[in-house]
Amino acid sequence: MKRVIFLVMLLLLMVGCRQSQQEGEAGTAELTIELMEPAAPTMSGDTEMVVRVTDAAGTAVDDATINIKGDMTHAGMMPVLANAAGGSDGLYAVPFAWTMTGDWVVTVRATLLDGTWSEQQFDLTVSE
Amino acid sequence: MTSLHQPAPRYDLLQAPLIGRLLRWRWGRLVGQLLLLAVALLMLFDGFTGPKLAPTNIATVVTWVHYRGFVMFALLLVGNLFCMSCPFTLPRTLAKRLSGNGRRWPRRLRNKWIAITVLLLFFWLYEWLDLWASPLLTAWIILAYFVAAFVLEAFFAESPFCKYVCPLGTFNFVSSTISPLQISVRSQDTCHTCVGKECVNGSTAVLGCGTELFAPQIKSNLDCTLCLDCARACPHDNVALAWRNPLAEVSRADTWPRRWDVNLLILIFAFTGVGNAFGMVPPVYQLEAWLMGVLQTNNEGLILLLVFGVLDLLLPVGLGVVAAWGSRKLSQNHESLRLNVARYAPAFAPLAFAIWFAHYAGFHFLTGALAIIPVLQNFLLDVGISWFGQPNWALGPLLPMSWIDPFELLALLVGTAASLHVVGERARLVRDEFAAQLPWIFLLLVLAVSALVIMYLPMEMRGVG
Ligand code: SF4
Ligand code: SF4
Ligand SMILES: [Cu+2]
Repeated sequence: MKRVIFLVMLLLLMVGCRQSQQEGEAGTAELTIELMEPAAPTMSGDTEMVVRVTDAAGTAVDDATINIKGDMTHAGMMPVLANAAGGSDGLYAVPFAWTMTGDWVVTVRATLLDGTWSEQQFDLTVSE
Repeated sequence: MTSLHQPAPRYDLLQAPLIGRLLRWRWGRLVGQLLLLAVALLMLFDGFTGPKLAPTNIATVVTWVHYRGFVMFALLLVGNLFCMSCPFTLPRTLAKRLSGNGRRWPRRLRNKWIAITVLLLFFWLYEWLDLWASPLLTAWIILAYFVAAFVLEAFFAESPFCKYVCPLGTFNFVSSTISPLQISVRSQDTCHTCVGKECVNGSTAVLGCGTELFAPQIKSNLDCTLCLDCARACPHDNVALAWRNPLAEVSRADTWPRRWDVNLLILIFAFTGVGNAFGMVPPVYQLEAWLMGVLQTNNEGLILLLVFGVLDLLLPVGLGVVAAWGSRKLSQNHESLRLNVARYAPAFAPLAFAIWFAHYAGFHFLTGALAIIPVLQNFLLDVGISWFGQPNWALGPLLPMSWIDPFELLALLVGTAASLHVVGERARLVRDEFAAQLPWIFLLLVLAVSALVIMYLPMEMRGVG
């Protein structure tokens, strides 16, 4: 019995130590990331995503690096990765092609020149 | 019927240097089990506390990519290695100790009906709850396995969980009927004079066969967990784990009981293979939407129950009976439908396996196996270990993507050819004319073509974690 209790305690300790849950993980930068396009993604129509980055004061941020990771909700499916740097008026056009229809989770990370970053997730359903 | 003097096995893995020793070693199985237990605990931990996004969580990636892939390759190349190292039966051994000898599993339940029900229930839950998309639910399933194996073992004498309940066991048992390894004995004469029959009865020191198989009479891998308890228990070192022709078991007439449950299970296993793949292509969503309109309901569970109830249960049972009826009619034979089904259903095993293999090993595993690397890196970063660097999410496919389709196609073609061959073999045994085989050949081809068509459709994956 003692051993069981010990194991449970150990497990709880490990759970407690877990740093983040990675949901809408916040880096140190305070940025607002919006996904402007596509609003209704389609397999055939989309070749890029448009992302808008603003800082805490609402000013457009143009010197960020954008990393996009598009995940299927199915384990083991290859994500689609895309990057862009340098925006204008806070807008970044990132080349992006869907690989199949269905439910996607798009994670957009904006990293500033000093290495701080901010991340935002978007759920999208891609049709034909 | 069969001669009792089967030839001694040609090549016995248990006599091989090193590996044979390891397999027969008292704690040999435990090593594998502890290894998988460690993996299972890691999966539970990440499933309950880790990222909610399925492709980035150990629980979902290992379950839906690696477990399914490894199992298929193991079954094809060796045998039921997962059941051999099954971690769920570890606490169960503890349960045995606690409970001593429990009751026997009720006679009326000593068949595959519960196993079939649980298997179908599992596939329905899989679709309804989008299990592949949810680390949390996947972790709960793993936990449920541990609990169920423990509870059943605590109450009953043999291992009813493996034999009569566990859907993984059912899946592996049926698949292993085309595996190249099987338990047999080195000398039937030794068994004749053996008093204790420890391989099945056990002795004071070692357990006998948990699923109550008797080594000298084994002709089938059905119900064999490959635990090798029989080999450890036999005082005459007479148990062998021998290579065989992978189609031998399904080609022979006397290997399986000619019961409805066992034979329908094979057909159901084949159709669920197609059904499960169908769950990943666009038409299934169109069908669901159409049904929701017709039935005026938004209840997805109900719609899926209907869709997969038809695909996984109604079609295999219905078409199996129709094929048997047609077979009887065409050959003007007067045997019972049950006997006709029992003659031809086993021939579906190779095709059924090929369908699952193409999907789980050919598609999910080969396209996603390396994804475990960034997932583990990410996990380690998350618990504060950064030695292994930043995850490279572009890792995934084991083979160039352009090889995947031909690989799956090859699997399906080989499976179809093997099944057709087995139909012929099984017919030859009783001198069934070609007309009697026709409906079954037709059913096999329908199944093979459906699998091919689904394979070439674009994929669509829905599901919210
Ligand atoms: S214990 Fe060994 S010798 Fe005895 S019946 Fe079983 S396999 Fe044969
Ligand atoms: S015959 Fe029974 S004891 Fe032997 S390996 Fe198979 S399940 Fe285990
Ligand atoms: Cu799939």
